Amino acid sequence: MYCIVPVNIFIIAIPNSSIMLKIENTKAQMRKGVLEFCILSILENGEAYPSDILVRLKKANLIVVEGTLYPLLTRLKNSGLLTYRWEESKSGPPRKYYTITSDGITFLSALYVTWKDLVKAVRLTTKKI
Amino acid sequence: MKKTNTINLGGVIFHIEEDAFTLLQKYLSSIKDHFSESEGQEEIVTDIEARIAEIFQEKKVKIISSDHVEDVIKIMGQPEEYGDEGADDDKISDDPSLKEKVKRRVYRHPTDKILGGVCVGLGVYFNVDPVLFRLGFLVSMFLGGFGLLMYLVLWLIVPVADTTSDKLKMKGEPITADSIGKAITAQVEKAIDPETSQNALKIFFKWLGNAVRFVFDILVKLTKVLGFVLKPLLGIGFLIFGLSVTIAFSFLLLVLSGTFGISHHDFSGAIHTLKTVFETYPLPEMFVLLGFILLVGIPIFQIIYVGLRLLFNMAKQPNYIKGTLASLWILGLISVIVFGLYSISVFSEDARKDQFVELIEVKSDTLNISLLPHIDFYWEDRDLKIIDSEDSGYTLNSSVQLDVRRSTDSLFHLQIRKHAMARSYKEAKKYAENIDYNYILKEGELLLDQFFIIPADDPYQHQEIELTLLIPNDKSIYLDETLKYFIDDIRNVTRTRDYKMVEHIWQMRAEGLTCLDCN
Repeated sequence: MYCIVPVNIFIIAIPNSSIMLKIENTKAQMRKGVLEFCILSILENGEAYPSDILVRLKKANLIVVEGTLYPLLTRLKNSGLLTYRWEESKSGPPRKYYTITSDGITFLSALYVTWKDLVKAVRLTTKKI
Repeated sequence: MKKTNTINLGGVIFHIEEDAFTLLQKYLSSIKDHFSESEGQEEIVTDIEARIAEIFQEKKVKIISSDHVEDVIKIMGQPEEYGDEGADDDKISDDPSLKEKVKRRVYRHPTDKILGGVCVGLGVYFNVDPVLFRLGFLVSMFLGGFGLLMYLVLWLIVPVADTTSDKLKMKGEPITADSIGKAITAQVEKAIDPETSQNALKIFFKWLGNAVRFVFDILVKLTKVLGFVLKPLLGIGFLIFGLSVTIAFSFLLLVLSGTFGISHHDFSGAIHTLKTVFETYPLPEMFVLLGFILLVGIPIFQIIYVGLRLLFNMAKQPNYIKGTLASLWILGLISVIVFGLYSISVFSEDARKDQFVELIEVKSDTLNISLLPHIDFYWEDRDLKIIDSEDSGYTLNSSVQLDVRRSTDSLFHLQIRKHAMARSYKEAKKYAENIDYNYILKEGELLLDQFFIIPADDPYQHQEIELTLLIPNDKSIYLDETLKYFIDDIRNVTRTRDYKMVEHIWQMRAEGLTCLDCN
């Protein structure tokens, strides 16, 4: 499963800074919704520890600062969509390996349907006539 | 040479330089603060610590310097940034300043302060050396203490810049990860090397600040101890004061609204004045009354409230109530001021009309002066009294006074000066001319009316009559008992008071009015 980054749809020349702020805000809102979806998708392919997830997310330009990830993981875990296990590391601190729960998979498939609908909707509504 | 500490970061041991340590600690605690309302606070911080440890290990850092920490903060980002991307929705709306353009704000400086941090805050805001403000306040304290009051007020109302964001707002800098990082770094540097920017003036102010704070602390402690004892007493005092003022005020309102009848003499002047003003005032009477009640009632209410609070430990008034009361009070104030200005305008012009009468009929050497009796007026009671005599279409008014002076010729004269006040001079003149005054002159006897009459249509325009009796040299007058309160400051040689002048004969001599039969 791929993560489609919606931000790339919007390439607009921005003239002034207040619009800039608004755009930043909207982008952030969009990313926020998509981020959970993408984290769950990454974990659907197998367990991973935060640094792995960070590499994938950064490559996709989905997050700017790494700190963003940790509160999200904690929240998803607290909602029962993720679990983790500890694993010793030879090179550093012990790592938390996250896996998706069955609840998480149900949640993800619901999100997937929503996402497809959204992409379709966006394509239809943003098409130049 | 730099001092280093050893820390355990995510289960890994690191050496860290002292300034880097302070910076890292500040960063981690800012994350902790940010998530203070989320349930996973500890976990998030632990995870982030672990990640930081990992980053340091990846970079093979042996001794962590502040540069390393700054790099790591750049990678991990400020907690304010997570809010936009990760945390709960309400977190986003928590700090609107993140999205809005940053406006410079006045804050009190928490660390650079001498006393309350007001001057530093002002200095930062206006971008000048705070010493200028300090000197200003110090000097103004000796000029009537205005500065002291000003300082205390500012101390109370200006908030402290607690967070790094506040400090940035103080300088009007945008709040971004970068600027926060820079600000924190700057703070740490300052904390490490506090001796920078010290000079003689600053040391003097620091010393002064410490001294003032010391006295202040003692005062606060003393007040606390005394307050325990005085609080209930003060509360009772406030209550009694508030309640008695309320009673007095309601009584005044009842009188003014005419509940006790217009004949209540002490207030009849005010009542008639108000009556005249209301005749032309564009707003209804109730409106002005309400404004007056708000203007006086709200402070009384607050005094009683404070009294109750001191006594019974009641909850503080919520801000919206305070705000509402304050706006209502201002409304009341405006209403009363407008009414007051209008009232003044109604009586702004003063006009008078003089009438001279030669009392040729007086042949005797002594003129007996007394008041004509009237069924509605009594000589013992000379307060303002206004009576409508409906049948004759006149209004009777008791504002008449008598003075006595020297005549320039050999005749008695009576000067009748009629006064009135109105919006314009023309009007005032008209009202003055409408005044009619009567007296009876018999052989050797002058009988004066206790009142004048005006047409019933004329409102109360402060009409007055000043009578002046002019006595030729060597002639005398006898002042009847009834004139006791009718005469007004008659000048005489012995400086006898008015009420002692009656029932005596007074002769106009070269040196002045002289009593002939006083002991």
